Amino acid sequence: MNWKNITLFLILVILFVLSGLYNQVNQKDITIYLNNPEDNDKQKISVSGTVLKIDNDEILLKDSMYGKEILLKNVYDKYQTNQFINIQGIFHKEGYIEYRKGEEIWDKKIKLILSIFGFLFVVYIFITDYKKINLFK
Amino acid sequence: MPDLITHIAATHLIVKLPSIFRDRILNYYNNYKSFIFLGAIFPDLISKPFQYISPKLYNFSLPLHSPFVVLITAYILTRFIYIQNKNTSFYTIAIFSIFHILLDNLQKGLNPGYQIFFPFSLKRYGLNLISSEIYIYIMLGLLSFSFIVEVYFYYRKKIAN
Repeated sequence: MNWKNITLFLILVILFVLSGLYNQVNQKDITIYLNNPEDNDKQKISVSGTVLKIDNDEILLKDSMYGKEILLKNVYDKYQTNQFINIQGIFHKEGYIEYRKGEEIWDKKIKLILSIFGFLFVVYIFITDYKKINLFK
Repeated sequence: MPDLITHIAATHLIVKLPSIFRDRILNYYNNYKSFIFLGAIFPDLISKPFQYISPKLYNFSLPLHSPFVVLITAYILTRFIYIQNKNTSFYTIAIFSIFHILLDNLQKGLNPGYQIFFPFSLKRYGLNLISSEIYIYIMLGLLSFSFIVEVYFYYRKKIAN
């Protein structure tokens, strides 16, 4: 590996870190809403997570990113506990979300299993084709 | 996003079907198939591992699925790893990565697609055409069709020999 390759590799690492951090800083996740409820009152919000508890039209949701428990109100769609759902709603400064629409993400595990098989297939193709591939030449 | 099997089957078909009529495309497929399939999974390969490490990294990994980052990464990667020609290797990964992003954006749902115009815009765009209920049938259809195409090539080769 020469200096040119090392420089290119470093550019790649910097690109990954900068683009990721840039997006992380500029995207609003659930913590931004919970830490500044007054500033985010009546703002649109999207959250995904697992249904923990259902009480009439209220649902307690465990957010998938940070594990925060959030109360959803006015949920007119039927869900069951332990379902993984994605919802859109309106955040209120009191700390709850007024439900607008949502959907169950039913195929998360199926997709993961199929994707592992897909990845292994590509690894197999690479192994069988390794003689054609030039590495660091 | 569709799973990687769907991406691989769709990519296989868009290269293998025209190669029934053009030997040049078949030669290209035979020479570059590892990079064709690498391109088919490339955007997920560089972004999803972050999400599996921690769900908190979801926003961090989102731009790694954008054409801007994917193309630069493919360019740099093909300076180290390539088949025959660095530029053809780059174009192969680039074209099939873009095809991957296009397929991802066809999916319907509340999740609003990907950041296609990153870093110029952080807004997420999706074409919202295929619902997740029917996507599993699309995957099975593509896989079956891919299998039929492979069987065709197997017998064509056998007859030629």
